[in-house]
Amino acid sequence: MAIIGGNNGIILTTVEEVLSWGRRNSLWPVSIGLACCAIEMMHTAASRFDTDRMGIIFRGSPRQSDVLIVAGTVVNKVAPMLKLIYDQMPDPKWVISMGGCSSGGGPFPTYSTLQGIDRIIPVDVYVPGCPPTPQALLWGIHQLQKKIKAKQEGKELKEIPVRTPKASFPVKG
Amino acid sequence: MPWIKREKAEKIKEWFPSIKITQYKDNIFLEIEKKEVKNLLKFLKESPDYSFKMFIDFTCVDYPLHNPRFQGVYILYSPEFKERIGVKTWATDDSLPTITDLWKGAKWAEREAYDMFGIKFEGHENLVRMFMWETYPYFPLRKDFPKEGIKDTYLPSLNEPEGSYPSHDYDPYHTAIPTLEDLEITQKARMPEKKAQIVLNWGPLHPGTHGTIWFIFDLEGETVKNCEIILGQLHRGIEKLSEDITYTQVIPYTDRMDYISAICSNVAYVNAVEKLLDIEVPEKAKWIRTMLCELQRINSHLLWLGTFALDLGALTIFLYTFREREKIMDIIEGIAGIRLNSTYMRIGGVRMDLPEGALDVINHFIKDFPSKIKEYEDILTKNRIWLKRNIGLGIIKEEDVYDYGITGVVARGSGVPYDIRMLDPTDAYDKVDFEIPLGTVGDCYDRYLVRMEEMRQSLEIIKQCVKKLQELKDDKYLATDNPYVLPTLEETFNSIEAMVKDFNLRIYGEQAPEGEIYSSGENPRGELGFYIVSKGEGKPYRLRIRSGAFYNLQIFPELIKGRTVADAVVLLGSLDPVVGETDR
Ligand code: SF4
Repeated sequence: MAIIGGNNGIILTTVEEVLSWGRRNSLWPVSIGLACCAIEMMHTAASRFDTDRMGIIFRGSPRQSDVLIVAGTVVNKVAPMLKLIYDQMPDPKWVISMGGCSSGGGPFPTYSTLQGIDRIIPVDVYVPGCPPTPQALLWGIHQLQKKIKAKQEGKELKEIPVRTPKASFPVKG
Repeated sequence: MPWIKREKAEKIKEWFPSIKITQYKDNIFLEIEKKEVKNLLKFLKESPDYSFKMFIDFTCVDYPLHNPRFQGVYILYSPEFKERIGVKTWATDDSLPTITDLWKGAKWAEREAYDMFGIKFEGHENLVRMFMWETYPYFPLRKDFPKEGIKDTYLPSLNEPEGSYPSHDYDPYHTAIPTLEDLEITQKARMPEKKAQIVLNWGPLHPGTHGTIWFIFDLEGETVKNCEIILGQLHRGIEKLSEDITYTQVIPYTDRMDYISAICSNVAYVNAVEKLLDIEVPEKAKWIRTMLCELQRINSHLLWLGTFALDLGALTIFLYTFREREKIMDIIEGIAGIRLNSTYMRIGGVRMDLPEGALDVINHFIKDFPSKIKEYEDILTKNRIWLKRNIGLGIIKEEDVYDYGITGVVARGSGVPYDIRMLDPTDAYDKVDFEIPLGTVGDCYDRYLVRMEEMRQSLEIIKQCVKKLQELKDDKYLATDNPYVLPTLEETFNSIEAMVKDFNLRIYGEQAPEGEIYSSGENPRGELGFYIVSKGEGKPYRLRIRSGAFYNLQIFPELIKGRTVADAVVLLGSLDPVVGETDR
């Protein structure tokens, strides 16, 4: 955005930029609480941390929201339902995975638990913790805002470089 | 809880000469063959000398090398004589007679046993799966089923670009997840045909269902004609997991069951293990436990109040209660280091000493909190909308309490003085004075009043604990002399014996003596019981978790019949289930 001529009230910008600005400052998450992490998500929305002041308003319906905060353990039985909810959200949409369980199964490496929601829906931001504190969730949301901004500017948020092994050396005994 | 006396149990032999009596500590179990078990249970329930009217729990244990393979375990309670009894029987031909005609509360427990072990129940009205979906081919709690399941589906991460090396070490093969058709079959199995106009699904991912409970209503207009509940949307397999880890390692999982009252669950569990291992807990730890339990109870009731009011449209209360909750969470964070799932309890005591100033903060909270309760009551207790929606809804009678095995606030709201803190005082509960509020009618409003009063009583207990703890300043908080108790960090770093002990306990676990024990604690949601079978190894052979919310929720379909959908929200809120505990 560029402001022209000091205080006389003209702003030059692009449509893209305005859209991105609007999107990242009014992230409306679907309030889907699954387990313990949902309690901390509620705390983030309630009196002390008060996400409303950042334009984050929890909605009851996926059709009205653009962020899916998966807070809690996703078990196999819920996985298709979660996918359904993700599909029902209008584009553009983002996913925050809150807590160890949704990120990778957490403390439950069992027959019934989904080992990471990235197996059924793509994830944008992982928030670690068991449960993450409300501060951590807020950090995650800020991280997502940065990601949206970076995308509009044509850069991807810097990713951890993945090293791949070159060739394998067969060892003969 | 006092168990039935040995002599009294011996007398049952006059009627049933074939029973075998096994005893571990004070826990008495009668063993009987399958064809007699129903008669015995009926006798125990109806005989005036015993009158074990209340159903507590039913579960199974798998002994793969034994023939017959599965053992059913019933636990009953006699409200008249205030004692418990256990009954065991072997499931010949992998089946057992249903006892749903004796106690309606056994319906879900039997479904669960079918789901987890594949045992059939002769005469059960609709034996379907409890937690898993209908087309799931395995029985997970059997000993020959691996805890991580059968990984037969290729389900790679979507975050990994196609064709690249995975960024971390993970298995692209996963256990099978159901399709939407599978879920539809599950739903159809629960409610085979609709009788009224329309079938409405409420949940599983709905803000009003307090987690992930799935309700099916059969509606005539707005009136509910029939209702069914599908659980298992948070079934994480804690019982299976705990068969593979040491007793200490189970503690964090008890946090994650009833995450709103983590400390109470911890205490109930460590008490059960301490009973099994015969550990005497230091005085100071007992008082700390009691104090934190009651703090957690207030915390839990506050969350209930906030969400309950929110469901009924009063957003203000939600914000107010969360303001108070934050204070309690801060106190717990200061003491235990973690806000929610604190894992503060250890077998034989507590993890750390109270930090400096903790008691002052709690003192301040005690002074401040009564005015806050008054604030809530001013808004709600005589509020016309509140009264209209709560009074007369969901009346639970005394017989229902016994029939369904309802415990906790829901039982006390119906005037049944069933409180483990009083009946089987653990920790310092036998040394503190408090009152147990009881309801008169048993409707939602009574349960509301009881919970509000309980918060006040909890404050009283905390007050006494703080006073006592100020005297006990320099005492031990962990019984480290006991061979089963992990040494403190300081000891581990400074003495070689403690380090060896620490190593042994962590690697090989607490080698508990052979035996079995059922012990419970008063959770804010009802009786949380642990039935532990030990085979002399470092880990439990079977750990059954008797969840209060599971049994309390069972009466919901009964109560909602003939009411409107809007009442379902209120009723569910007042029963206050937590899915982490119902599904485990
Ligand atoms: S990450 Fe931890 S706190 Fe969050 S849902 Fe899983 S077990 Fe609960």
